[in-house]
Amino acid sequence: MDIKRTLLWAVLTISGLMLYNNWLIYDGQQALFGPTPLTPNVSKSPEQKEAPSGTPAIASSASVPAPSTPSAADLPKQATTQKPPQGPSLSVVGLTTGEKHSIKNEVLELEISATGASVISAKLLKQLGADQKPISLLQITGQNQYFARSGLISAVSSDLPNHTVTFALSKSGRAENKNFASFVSEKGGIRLEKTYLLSDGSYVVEVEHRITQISNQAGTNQLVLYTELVRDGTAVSDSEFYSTFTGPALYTDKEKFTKIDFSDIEKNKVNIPKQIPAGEPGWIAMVQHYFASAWLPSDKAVRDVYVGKVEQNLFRIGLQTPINPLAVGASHVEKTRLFIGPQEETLLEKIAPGFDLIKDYGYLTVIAKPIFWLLEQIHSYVANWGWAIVILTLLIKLIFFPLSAASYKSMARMKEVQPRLLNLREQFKGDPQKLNRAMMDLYKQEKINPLGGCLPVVVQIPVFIALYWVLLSSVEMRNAPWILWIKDLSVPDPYYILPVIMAVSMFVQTKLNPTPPDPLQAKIMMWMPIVFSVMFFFFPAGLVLYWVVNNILSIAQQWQINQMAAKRSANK
Amino acid sequence: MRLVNKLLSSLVRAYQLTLSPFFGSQCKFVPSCSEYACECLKIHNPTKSLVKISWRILRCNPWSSGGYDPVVKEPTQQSFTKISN
Repeated sequence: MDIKRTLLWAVLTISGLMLYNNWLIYDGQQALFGPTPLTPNVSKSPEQKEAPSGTPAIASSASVPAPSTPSAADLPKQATTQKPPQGPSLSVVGLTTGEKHSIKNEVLELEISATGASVISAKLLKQLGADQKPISLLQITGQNQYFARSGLISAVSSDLPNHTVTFALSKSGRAENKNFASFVSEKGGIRLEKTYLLSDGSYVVEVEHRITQISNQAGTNQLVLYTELVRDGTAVSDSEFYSTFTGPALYTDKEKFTKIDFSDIEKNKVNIPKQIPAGEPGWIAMVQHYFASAWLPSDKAVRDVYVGKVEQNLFRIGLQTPINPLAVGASHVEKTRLFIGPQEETLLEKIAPGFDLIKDYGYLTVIAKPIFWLLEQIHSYVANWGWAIVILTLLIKLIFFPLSAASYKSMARMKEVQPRLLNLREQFKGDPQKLNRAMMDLYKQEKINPLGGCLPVVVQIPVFIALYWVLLSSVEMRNAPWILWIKDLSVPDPYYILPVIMAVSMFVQTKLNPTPPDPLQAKIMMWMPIVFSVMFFFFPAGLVLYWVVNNILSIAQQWQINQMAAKRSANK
Repeated sequence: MRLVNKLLSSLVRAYQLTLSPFFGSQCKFVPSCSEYACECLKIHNPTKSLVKISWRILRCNPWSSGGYDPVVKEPTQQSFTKISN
């Protein structure tokens, strides 16, 4: 195969792939290299069927056929057919127009609607956005719908206190260092009292559901408590140049952490564990870049997991906990926890088993976790994430030093024999076998044996990619300053100083390396610094800082080796 | 050449053109690991190529002596020419 054709093939394939990828993104579909925003117009003729795979029936009433007429306010699957029909997004509108109550501590401010006593807004008071105002994670606005709701259903009656009924504030105040608010509703012979308790400084809201059978007018039935998170399918996209996961996720002991793509819910292609067995920890979550919300139920009962599409561009993930039939006058309290907060690793670890996995490093978790641990250790000494990145880069460089030093040494020598190598190429143009032999002889003669080999390079690549994920997904980098003009390591450098230094350092690096014999390769090498720096203009400053430090160290190392090699050949 | 082979070898080619210059010439073998990969894909099916390429990269480590190691059709006939330091 002739070389020019291969080149053309390579260029064509890559540009074709990129074109296809961009077209996918434009079309609102999943990109080839990661999840991308779902545009609201994913399917214009919604045959609004609930995802059957994700909506299990209650343990006791598996035979009850589920209705296939969902609406915005639809209950989890086993709600009966007598439900009043409601137009799309009525429930969402009802949530914002009715009475609202708030409960807060120093880090979290929740807004709870009278309709369903649902959490319709959550402000993270310590996490400021670009406008210096607290981030609203849960909120209902024109573009965003994101809320947490819970309620009761049974196989027989839908006329129970669920997320569509109106609750009344029964009491609120402060007890045992916790702010609390209770909401009560009665329907179908059942009283449901929902109490939200918020400890000081905590992102975990304790939610108590006190269920009381007040009469047997509708009979005493097996009840099911559902707790769910509802969110629009619009992904958080901070940049065109990298993408992070947005969507539901769940954890079971057996399957560990599983992410679910909105597009898979749309296509009914969800394959998740449907049940969390009794006695095993498990939770469901809604994840996005830096932040998450999650329902963390108690372990004692079997819990069913369901995911589904509520309406156009609105998705949910939920849990169903069975509540045994109660005698008239008897009560049952079901305690669960609702997490709404940033993905700070040390914070997450304490909440539940496996909960730190919510901060998602993808395939490289095994490498990324120790890297983050090390970064955090360094941070505890220097108290500045920028310097922590610099020191971490230094450490990684030191670990790989023996390997790279050896190869730089041979590269310096390669540069010396480059002209002779080019001569050989001319000489054996049509005979690659002979050329290779001649090259080997030359290496032998000059005692060049690149000591590193390809394996160290291949091994280093995952480490770098893991570090990239660590820096990209760590909420700790938000609003974390370094020095001078860098006030936030998670956003691009406002004055583009780091990317420019990056481009210069890359240019210097190409100058230090031997010129590739392939003229096209040589040309590409000249362009790479420019391409890379354009990309780096839009990358978080923390990442660029890492690359800059890494590059400068490489240059220093290589320059010194070049000097040494030059001295040696002068002494000969 | 089959489509998968073509795709894979163009990926290797893309690596050679864009990333490889920044790592520098590290390879201890002739032909280099990436050239070896392209050669492999010309002769063998994708699975066999991947196995052979992985094995080659594993051998290309700081403790091996490298040498002349072309792709041969019969893996048993591999010839090594060791270089002495």
